[in-house]
Amino acid sequence: MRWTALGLGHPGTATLNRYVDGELTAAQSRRVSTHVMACRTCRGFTDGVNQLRANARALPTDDVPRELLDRVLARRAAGERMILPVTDAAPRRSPNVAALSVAASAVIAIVGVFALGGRRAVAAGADGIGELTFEPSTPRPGDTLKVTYVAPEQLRHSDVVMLRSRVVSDSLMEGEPTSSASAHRDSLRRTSDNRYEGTFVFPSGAALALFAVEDVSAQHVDSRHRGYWRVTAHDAGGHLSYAAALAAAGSGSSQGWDRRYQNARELVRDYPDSLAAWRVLAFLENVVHGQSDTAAWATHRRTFVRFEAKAKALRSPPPDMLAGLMWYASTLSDTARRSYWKERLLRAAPRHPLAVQERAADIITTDRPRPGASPSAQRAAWKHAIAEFDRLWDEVGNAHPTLITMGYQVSSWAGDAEGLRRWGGRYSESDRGDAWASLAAARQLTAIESIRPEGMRMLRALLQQEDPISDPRRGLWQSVDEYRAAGADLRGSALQELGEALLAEGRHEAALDTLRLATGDGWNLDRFRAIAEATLRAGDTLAAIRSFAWVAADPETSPAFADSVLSRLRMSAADARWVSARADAPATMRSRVLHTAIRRGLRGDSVRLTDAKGRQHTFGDIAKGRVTIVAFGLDLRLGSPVNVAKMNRIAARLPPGAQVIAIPISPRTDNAEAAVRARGIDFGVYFDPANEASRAFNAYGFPMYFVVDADGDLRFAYSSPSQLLAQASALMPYSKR
Amino acid sequence: MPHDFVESQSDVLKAARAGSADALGELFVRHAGVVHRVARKLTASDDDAQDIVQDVFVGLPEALRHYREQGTFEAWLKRISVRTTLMHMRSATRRERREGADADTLLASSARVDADPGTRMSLNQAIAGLPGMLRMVFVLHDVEGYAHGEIADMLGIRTGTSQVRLFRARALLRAALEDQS
Repeated sequence: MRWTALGLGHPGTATLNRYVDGELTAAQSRRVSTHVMACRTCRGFTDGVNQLRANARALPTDDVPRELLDRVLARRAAGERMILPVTDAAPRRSPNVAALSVAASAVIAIVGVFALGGRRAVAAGADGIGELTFEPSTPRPGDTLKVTYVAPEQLRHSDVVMLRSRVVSDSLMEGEPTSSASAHRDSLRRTSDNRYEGTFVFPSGAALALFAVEDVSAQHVDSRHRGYWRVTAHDAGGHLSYAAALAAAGSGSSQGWDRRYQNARELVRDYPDSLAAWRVLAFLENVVHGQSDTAAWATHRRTFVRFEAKAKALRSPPPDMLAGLMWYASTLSDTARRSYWKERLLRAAPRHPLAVQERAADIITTDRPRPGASPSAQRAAWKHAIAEFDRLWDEVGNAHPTLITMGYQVSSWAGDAEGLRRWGGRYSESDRGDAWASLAAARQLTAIESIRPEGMRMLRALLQQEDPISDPRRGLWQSVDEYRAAGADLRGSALQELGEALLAEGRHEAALDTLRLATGDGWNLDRFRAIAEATLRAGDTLAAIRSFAWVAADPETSPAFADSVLSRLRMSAADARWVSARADAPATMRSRVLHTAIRRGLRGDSVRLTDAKGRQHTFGDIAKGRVTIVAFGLDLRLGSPVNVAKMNRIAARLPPGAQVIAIPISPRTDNAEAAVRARGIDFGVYFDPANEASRAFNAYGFPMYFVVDADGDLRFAYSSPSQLLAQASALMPYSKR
Repeated sequence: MPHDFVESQSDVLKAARAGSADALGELFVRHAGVVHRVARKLTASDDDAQDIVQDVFVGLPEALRHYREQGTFEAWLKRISVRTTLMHMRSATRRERREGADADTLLASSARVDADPGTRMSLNQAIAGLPGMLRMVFVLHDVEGYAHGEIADMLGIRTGTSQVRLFRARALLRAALEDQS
């Protein structure tokens, strides 16, 4: 028996649930009880609820590790205190959204949980940041703006600098703005020593534009430490336009959640009759506070009813209004209202983008295989779903990006070569702007013989490089070096997939050539493992040994890896081929890793830090003459974004002359030293009271890892923890390793 | 409950309130299991549960100043544990993996909620697999025995919402476990 509708003549499942829970009135309970006793179906249902509840209560619980008490006592001994939520939730009050939200924020701050990738404030005019101004400052779309840039030192070496911009348009989809994929470059010319001027045409249809400034060769970028400068659209009266205000709340570009939330509150204040504004506010409230803010939620429910009444009073509400109500109800977790407005949307505007998304989701819900279905039954179910997706595509085309994502995914579940070819093609043509997703799609295609050429075509397209300076995929914040470094791994992986596909086609020579090229960029152990396996299959044992040796050389790799490789290849550790490959591997690692390095001066002497004892240092002093891994996002109180155990392990395995330091999230307290001890931290901890380090490194979230060389230059930015050992080792003087 | 235990419990609470590490240790031994159980079931994560147990006991001596000894200590501690867990969950960041998405992830990405299509699983796994909002209500109601009114207060939702989520959670659990029976 399934727990869905029980059919006519039976009490509804909600009633039966409430009957089991003893929440019906005595009279209702008697009526249901009489029915249940006589009805096997309903008795099965109520027995099921009782059984489930009893089983859930009887579930054994794990023992609490005794060492937790040791940690508790150590934290207490270190002076740490927590303020627990001992009082009941605040009584429901009049809806003062702002006040309650501030209160909720305060509670979270007291508990000390780091939330939502908190972003530190960045002040214009700080080191490395210029000043960019626009005239008029409250432009209308279509205006030509006079641009003035006062350059910081690193951008004063040429007579021209480039203003790079990305525009968020005011064309609204489901009440939110859409951003352009392209980036524009305009020249600014020097007018005095450090002053540059030019113009910028604020496009018609723009809601806002984001800016960074770079030199002509895009080697140095001033992105205001990824905070960017922005120009927003205004109306004729000089007021922020609705589209710009909505974009400020709805667009994540360069803003933290808190800032977006604040923008959304202002948006609702200025545009109380905008359904989109309220929906965005509800979404952000949910993100920032969960649904803890009961007063705010009550306000939303009343607001929803107001908009609902408005829509019902219209003979033919516009599709955007129907879609907006459906999504607002969804954000408020009101499933009944969501269903109602969804049905009306599907009836009135079945080709509306959101209607298409719903229809696509419904196909999966309806056609998904039953749990425990045989593999062939599963494939048949998903094949049926593909046919439905194709019908939907024929009807609406690329009406919503989700349609392609889902169609493609369902094709892969079905293992349907033709479906994969069709949907993979649609995927690659849709320019989703995510190269890694395209790589994943290509991998699926190359795995099936009949459609392998399609996958190989996608891989080759991925490998076509545009001029990195003009490439629209380069982030506003990225220099060409940073962009190339970020793309190196993707190119290597695409080449590896292509090599494996060529191998599967029996083109061994071309496969080996391609696999060799795949090792040309970067240092990626997963890729090298895959290449080793492929070259082994292709019969080139020597090349495989070399790739395996590279993996073995990485300080992240367990010593047991080499033993398992040797045993598999039936070689001894003294085999000349292995000995030679292992001897060369450290140099290869070093050159490959350094190939992805950047170099950016940090002015470490002007970055002031405080140690746990309260003593003042500069980053320059701390890092002088040492390779330094810098981790932002250590939390001394709770589960830390920077993993203490992992960083301890990295610190222990670093060669002499290298070190790890971590910058905590929170300001220093008097018991910081004891807290560091209590957390068992074996690396340096330095506080950043004036955010000088986060500005110098462009650390805009947590956790983030950087590697600085012995000269104090930043060489690796935004690294992953698994890369840090190799990167730090590569920066050590070669003779010492 | 034996009389001598009540007295000793009261003494332990008093000593813990005064900052005694031994008394705190005694409370940990007696009651950490409850805190852990609540946190583990609500978060479906061992790591998070252990963090929460630590936080609750680190803050307990100060929190005890607010304990009026009305109702059992364990019930009071459980309520604090629930609230601490909820705050912990609200602030936890989540990352969704793009690759290898299953049907649920795909549907969730379009803000849909539906039953897990997976194969056989234990009740524990099935509870852990519930969407967070549904799991919280199910655990608080069916496992911890809170009434919908209390759950609504704790979660900041309407009583009716709590009921609907409970029914939905039960339905999803039943669907997930269906093939096992």
